[in-house]
Amino acid sequence: MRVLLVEDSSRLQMSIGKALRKSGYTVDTSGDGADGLWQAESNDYDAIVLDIMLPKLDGLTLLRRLRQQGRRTPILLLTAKDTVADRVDGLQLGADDYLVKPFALQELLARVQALCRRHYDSKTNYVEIADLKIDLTAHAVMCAGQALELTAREFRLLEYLALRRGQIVTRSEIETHIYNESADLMSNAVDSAICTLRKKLENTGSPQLIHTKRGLGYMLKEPS
Amino acid sequence: MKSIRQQLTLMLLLGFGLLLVLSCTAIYFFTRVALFTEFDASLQAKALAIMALTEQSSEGVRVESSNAFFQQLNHDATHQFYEVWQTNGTLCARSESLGGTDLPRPSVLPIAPSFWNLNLPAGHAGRAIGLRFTPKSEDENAGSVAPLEVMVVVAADRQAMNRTLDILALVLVVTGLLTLITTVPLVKFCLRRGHAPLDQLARQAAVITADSLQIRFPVDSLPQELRPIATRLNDLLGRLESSFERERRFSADLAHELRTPLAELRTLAEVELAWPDGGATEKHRETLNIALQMEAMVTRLLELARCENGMISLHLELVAIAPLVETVWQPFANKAKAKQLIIHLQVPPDAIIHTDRTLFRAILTNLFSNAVEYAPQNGQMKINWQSDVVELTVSNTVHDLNAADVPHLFERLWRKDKSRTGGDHCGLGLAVSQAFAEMLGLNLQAQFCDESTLKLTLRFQGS
Repeated sequence: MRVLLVEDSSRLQMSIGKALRKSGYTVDTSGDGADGLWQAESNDYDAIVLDIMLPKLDGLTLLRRLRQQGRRTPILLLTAKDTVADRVDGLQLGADDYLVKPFALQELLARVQALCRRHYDSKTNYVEIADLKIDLTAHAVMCAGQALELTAREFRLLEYLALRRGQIVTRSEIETHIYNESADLMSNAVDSAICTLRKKLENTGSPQLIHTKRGLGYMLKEPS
Repeated sequence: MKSIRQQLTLMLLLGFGLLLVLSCTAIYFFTRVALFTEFDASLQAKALAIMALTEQSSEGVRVESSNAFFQQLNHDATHQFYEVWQTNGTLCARSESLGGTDLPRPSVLPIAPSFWNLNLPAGHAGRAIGLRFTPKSEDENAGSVAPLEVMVVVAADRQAMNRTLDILALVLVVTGLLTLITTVPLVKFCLRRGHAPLDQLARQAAVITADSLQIRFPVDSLPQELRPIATRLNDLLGRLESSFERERRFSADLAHELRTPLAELRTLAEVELAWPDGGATEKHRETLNIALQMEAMVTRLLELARCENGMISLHLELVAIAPLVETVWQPFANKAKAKQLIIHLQVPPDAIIHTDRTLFRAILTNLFSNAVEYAPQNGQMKINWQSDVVELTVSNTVHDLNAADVPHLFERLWRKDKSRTGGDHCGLGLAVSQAFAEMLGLNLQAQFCDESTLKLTLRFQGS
């Protein structure tokens, strides 16, 4: 999952960014509204965590412009403005959630996760495909009755495929949502990661769930 | 509860009722006087006629009762009465209507013609005129007969007049009461109509709350008497709106200034607890910086609160300006140097003022801190003392402020940057400085010398 964090407090940017990355998200950060808008327009994010009082361009204007462009990326407003009027303004402009500073980190992570799920029309934290069971909250995977040990990146890949089950997911989409721009992304990194994940699933005796669509990408679905 | 409408209703009804009673009474009495005057004139004419028809002879007093006049009197036998007698009591003549009885005679025979009320023989109310006279003599040798004095009394039944007066009184009372009863709703209606603009004003005022202070009363559509009130209320609303807006902004800014560092602190701790990665010294430094930032803000807020509540006591003494300015400037010198600011310091060595050293120092610290913070790289800063007008000016070049910002510079927590990014200057320094200046009897003002130079002037009031 790829998240954009637009926050002018460098300390908060650093702390929240770290928490999101440690929770398995790919995180881009921005310290002002103009840059945040540019990033939001340039990339496809699963969620945006947005401060309201920002230099150059305030968060509400940024939000309005994104919605006017028809972008439906889930947006969580994270702000010190705590009045009912502020919340109503934010939600009426198209924000999906509103969290007031100071906040509990776990609550922020839970809300971001809920927004990402909503982005893929998933209402639960539990995904089940054939004998594959994924607990998105606990980051636990069971396949054919066995617990799978996955790295953080492998889990993010499986989670992304699972949330888009039945759909073809292109390599570039996987690169965008799973890998940081700054990361050293090798040309076959996605293929390699898919291969590793597929092996781990097959080692449990489970039928093949990750299907390759030649020239298009990959699809996670129940065996036909 | 006092009600203008009720008071006006009561007073108008009482006033109108009083006028009505007085008017009716006046009408009744003037009519009565007129009727009596006419009645009396009629009686007097008859008495004079009888007097003219009365003669004295050697045989005594004789009344020519065969005259047509007497025939007419006797014809109206039930209402007209007369009696003529000599002052010695000898009856000379009486009307047939008396049926042989006498009219009540007055105990004192009046010299001048006089009128009185009496009961007529039939028991009816009547009115009479008494006239004492000396009849003319019918003899040629009048001088041989001693003149006799005769009294003539003419009376008439006044029941018809009394009935007329009774009917008039009844009409006046009934009309008056009906008018008064009709007046009650009429007065109420008129007052309600008259007070309608006031009620409308009250209704408009009733819906104004702290969240709708932008509402103004429509002055042009109001009656002339209410316009000054509405104008003053609009002025008051304007001041309240500004004040509330300032307070709201202050509350929102304060919430931001406190919530953001708290969020930084909490998130820093939670992330470190969840994913410890070493680097404790750096984390502790960040924690300390956040704490210092919050401490600075809380300290300034407390200074403001103490100042506003008069909880700061002054210790006045003679303070040499030059060494104080130099001491206060020292902590900012390095930052000014790093920004390559051009500093002009012009304070005469003998400049002395009588003030509180601690507060004056705090003011200087804030002014210097702001100047160094907001002056652009390679900017200029001047600190100048003028002994003749006893004022200290701190001016510096700025790049993101303009004259429109001057009225806000002394507002608590005001920042040009609406995003309030960065926590070193939270916007309390000048507010605190102005509060301290007022305590010290100083006047702190801001103005733009040119488009890019902000000048803050600290002047002794009255100098």
